[in-house]
Amino acid sequence: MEDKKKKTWHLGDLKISTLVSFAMAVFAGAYLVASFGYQYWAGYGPGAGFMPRWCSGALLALSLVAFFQSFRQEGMKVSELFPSKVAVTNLLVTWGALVFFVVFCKLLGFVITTTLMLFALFTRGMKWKPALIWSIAVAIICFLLFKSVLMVQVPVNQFGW
Amino acid sequence: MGTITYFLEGLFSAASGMNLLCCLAGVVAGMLVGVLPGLGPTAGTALLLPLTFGMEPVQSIVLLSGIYYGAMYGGTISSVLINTPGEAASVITCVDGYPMAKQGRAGQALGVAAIGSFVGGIISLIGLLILGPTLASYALKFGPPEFFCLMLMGLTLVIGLLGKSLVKGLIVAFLGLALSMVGIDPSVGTVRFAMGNDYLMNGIDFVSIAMGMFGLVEIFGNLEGNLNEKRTLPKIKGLIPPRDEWKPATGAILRGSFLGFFIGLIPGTNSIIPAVMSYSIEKKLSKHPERFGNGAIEGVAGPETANNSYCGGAMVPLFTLGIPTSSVMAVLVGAFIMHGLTPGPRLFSEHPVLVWTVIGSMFIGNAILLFLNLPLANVWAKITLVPDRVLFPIITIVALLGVYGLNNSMFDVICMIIFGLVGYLLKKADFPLAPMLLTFILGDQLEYSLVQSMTIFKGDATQFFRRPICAVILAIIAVVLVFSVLSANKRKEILGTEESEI
Repeated sequence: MEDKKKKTWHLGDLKISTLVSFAMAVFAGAYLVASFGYQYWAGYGPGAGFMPRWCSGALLALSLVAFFQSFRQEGMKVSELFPSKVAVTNLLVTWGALVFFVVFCKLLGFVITTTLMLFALFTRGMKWKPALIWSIAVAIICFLLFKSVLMVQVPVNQFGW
Repeated sequence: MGTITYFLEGLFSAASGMNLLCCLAGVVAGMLVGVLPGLGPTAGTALLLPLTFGMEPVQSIVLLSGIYYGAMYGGTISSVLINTPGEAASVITCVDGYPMAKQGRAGQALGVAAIGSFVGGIISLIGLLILGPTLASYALKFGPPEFFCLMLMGLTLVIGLLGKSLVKGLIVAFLGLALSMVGIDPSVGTVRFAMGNDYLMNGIDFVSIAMGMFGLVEIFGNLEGNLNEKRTLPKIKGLIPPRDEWKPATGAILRGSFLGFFIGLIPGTNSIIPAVMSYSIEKKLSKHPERFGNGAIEGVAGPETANNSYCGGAMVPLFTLGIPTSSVMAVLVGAFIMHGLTPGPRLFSEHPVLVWTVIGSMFIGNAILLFLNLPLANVWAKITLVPDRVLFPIITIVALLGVYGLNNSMFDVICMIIFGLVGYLLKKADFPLAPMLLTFILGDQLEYSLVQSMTIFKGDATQFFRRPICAVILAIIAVVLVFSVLSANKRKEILGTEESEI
């Protein structure tokens, strides 16, 4: 009974390379199917579907090889993806901040969105007061540097900042 | 005009106005990238690539090249002072550089590394001057089949030599190729895999992939560590080594220079290889090998020279054949393409001013770096103290703004984030990232030359084997593939388990 309990399978036991190889095989399969929609051979030579078909075919075959190889090779497990709780929080905050930037930048403008985003990131390593000062300063400096000095397009709100 | 005349004109052009300013900005940015642990030259060039969009092509390439070789100089400082390599190629410098710092000889380690890097950089540039034009004029005789085979060989070497598994290398290479086919087909103009998305009709932007795969992935990797780590610096004094160490250091520098240059010519290598090889050669040649690991000056001079000399060597295949030999070179190819230029043999004849100005700027850049490193070593040392908690949020914002500014489009930002996450997972699953960038950047050319070749051959692919140059290159590819399968375990022992970024 105890042995059976020990062998209970968890998602965390799965290797990351197994998951990635599987995802790659699915992507390659979909790509291969889509590539059949393009002409393989034109009158004068290879058509628009020639390279995609060979490329996705090879990708599919290799992904399947990697998928089966991953079961007997050593590799990081899903449960080991993040080395510590702090790492998980840091990464989740960063990913959340990136999504926040994409969603709200056009609406709130660069300065406000960046200040909020940076505040979330800076508070991972410093207290909230210095974090706030750093966030506002960096957002304004970046805005002026990119827009006025480097002449790079910056996402802005209806007020132009 | 002869090579010397072209070179002198390039040198004057590089020393004038904006070109000089871009060279200075590039090497300073490169030093920063190298000094700051956690940021490598690929991430540095990828992050700053969008900022060069509005520049003249020559200024853009001068700046980005400056970041590349500047990072090699900068990496030494953090290796010697805080035992943390600023970029991958300086890993081996820690072995003797840090013990030297602990013995109060940090200044001597940094001094000999700067002098060695300068000598290595100049010798490899002389090699580029001699080999570049000759190889380019020979490559002009190549037709589409030869170019297709050549690109295939470059990619095979990169895939075969990098990373732990050939299968995984091939998977990411094919993934890069598949992604490069999104958008308008280069030969007949059919829109492929756009899924009705207007943005995808123009294809995925190279910068989004480069910044996601190399910029964001490095940031994510660093966020896993301690953001509040406190670093302390040893004192730096006396940059010139004592007289009794001049002879062994000079020998190590000269050997490292030639070794680095020749390794740089081979696609698929990276600057760690000549650095490690140089270290082991110096140890074998030394009468007192027991000094290595305890602060031997040759252990710093040789590898640091070799990794800088490698940069000049790696420029040869890029300028003459248009083949990027590493991910940094792929970013440089991206910069060429972004400015409507195609690197390759025609570059020397069609854009001589650009090529020679870039080469000239590398001479000037190396001289600037020597100056930046010797008297200003203390200033750069202070930069290693910038805490990660301040650094990485700022880099993230620069990345977001840079990629947005390319097309004024949030779609590119979304692509960058997606590729950052995909790259993060791929790295965790031990897939090398460099082959993906290389196939993505070469995808269009690879497909176009294949279509041209197959049209010339009227669909008969066996004709590849009937052309002597193609046959030889294809034979080399076969040998490389067999070698990579057979030597997988040995390679892991030599290069370690980490994929090199450069």
